[in-house]
Amino acid sequence: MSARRIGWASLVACTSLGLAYALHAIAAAPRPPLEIWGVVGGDDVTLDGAVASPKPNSTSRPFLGDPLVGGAPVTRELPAGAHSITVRLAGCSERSFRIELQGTSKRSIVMLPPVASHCQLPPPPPRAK
Amino acid sequence: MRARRVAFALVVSGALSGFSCSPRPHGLPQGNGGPSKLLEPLPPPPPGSVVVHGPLVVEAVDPVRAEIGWDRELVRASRLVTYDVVVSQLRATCPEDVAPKRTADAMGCLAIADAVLPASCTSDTVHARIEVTVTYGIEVQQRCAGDGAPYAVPEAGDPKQLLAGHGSACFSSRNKFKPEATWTSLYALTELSIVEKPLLVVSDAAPLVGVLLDPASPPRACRDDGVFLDGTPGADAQSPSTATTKSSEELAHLLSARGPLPGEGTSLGVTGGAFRTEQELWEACRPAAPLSPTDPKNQLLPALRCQLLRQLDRFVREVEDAARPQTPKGASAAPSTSGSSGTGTVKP
Repeated sequence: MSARRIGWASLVACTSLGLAYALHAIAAAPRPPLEIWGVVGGDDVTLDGAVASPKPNSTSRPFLGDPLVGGAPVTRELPAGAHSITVRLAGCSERSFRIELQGTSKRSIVMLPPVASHCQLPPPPPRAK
Repeated sequence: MRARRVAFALVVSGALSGFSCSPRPHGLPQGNGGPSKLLEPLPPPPPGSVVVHGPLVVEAVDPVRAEIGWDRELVRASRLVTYDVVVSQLRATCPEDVAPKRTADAMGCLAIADAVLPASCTSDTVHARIEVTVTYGIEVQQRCAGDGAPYAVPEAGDPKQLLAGHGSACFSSRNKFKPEATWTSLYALTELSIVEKPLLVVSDAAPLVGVLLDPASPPRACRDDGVFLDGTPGADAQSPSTATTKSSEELAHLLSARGPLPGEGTSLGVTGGAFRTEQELWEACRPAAPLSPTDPKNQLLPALRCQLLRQLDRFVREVEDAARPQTPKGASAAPSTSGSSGTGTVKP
């Protein structure tokens, strides 16, 4: 019985250690920040399929090249690696693109003011051959 | 360093006017932003009529998105610009007996040269938006002032740690046994080479965009696949295009010339292969005081590059702060009371 208890305790201890190590690794893994500028309330943003739109009443703020996170309408810390983003500025067709995050410093995306008469135009039909 | 901190605080202050995303234009089309209506070919013309097309025309190149960030921290970064290339094409249905003369383009597609159509023709102009993304690679090298070679940063390993070691050694070797008050800041001891080059152009129609943007190219009526803009087959035979494919560099140049980012053309934030001190490069990112909206340093392209420079600057400051206590001081001078971030001057 005692041997079983010791075995059980060892198993629990090992599992706990493993779990703690895994949690520590997750916590220690860098999560580089991503900022999206040039979007305002009413624009739609999704990051890896999750809604990340700016707050409804948020307004456009200038992008000045600040080295640290702060002031962007959309900021997220994401795991390093590839991520998919979809942005639909009000009155425009949506755009999807991928980004690659590395290191610990922030990456910035700046959406430029759209040209109203152009941003809804369709793409040409697919290639014929 | 206090002056630098104040300047930095000014830069980040949202109250200051710099490059800004201007307010959304009024009078947007009242669309719901959903999928746009796709281009469709004209229906077959009635007997005795013919459908004719005009040349493809680039109406606008709109920069729509910019991006910057490190791909390998402090060593290699990328800057991306996405453009909407707006292409249009006239098409008309005309009675055969009055149809304008058409000539073949390089693909063998027939197009009218004259935009003035007989009154008996019915015409419209179709528009499409081609997305093109240009990726610029930014390579950063650091060296200690007075050294010929840049710091070695092998592909493997943490570049931040390696560069911190090199920077720390540079600071100590240049300042050791000197009175602390005369120490040269690592900002002035660190020299940077920053080179930016177009690496990649991604688009479903990059070759076509290259041809259409090149003023030396003859008019084109068809896309590379031999169809008109709306998908109507144009070339009877599979005529190979005579246009040479543009390099990424040429295409990036054509796009940036036609659709410049605010501040395009500035060399701020890049050194073209030469080494300049981190101090000098950082100073170039300081906005003029008082800030003016027309100050080129406050425009988008410089602001993007200055984000990287300011991140480098923070790194250099951290390295110097760590290196100071480990640097042997000269005996004759009174030690300063603060680290790099507390001193207000940089002694070259």
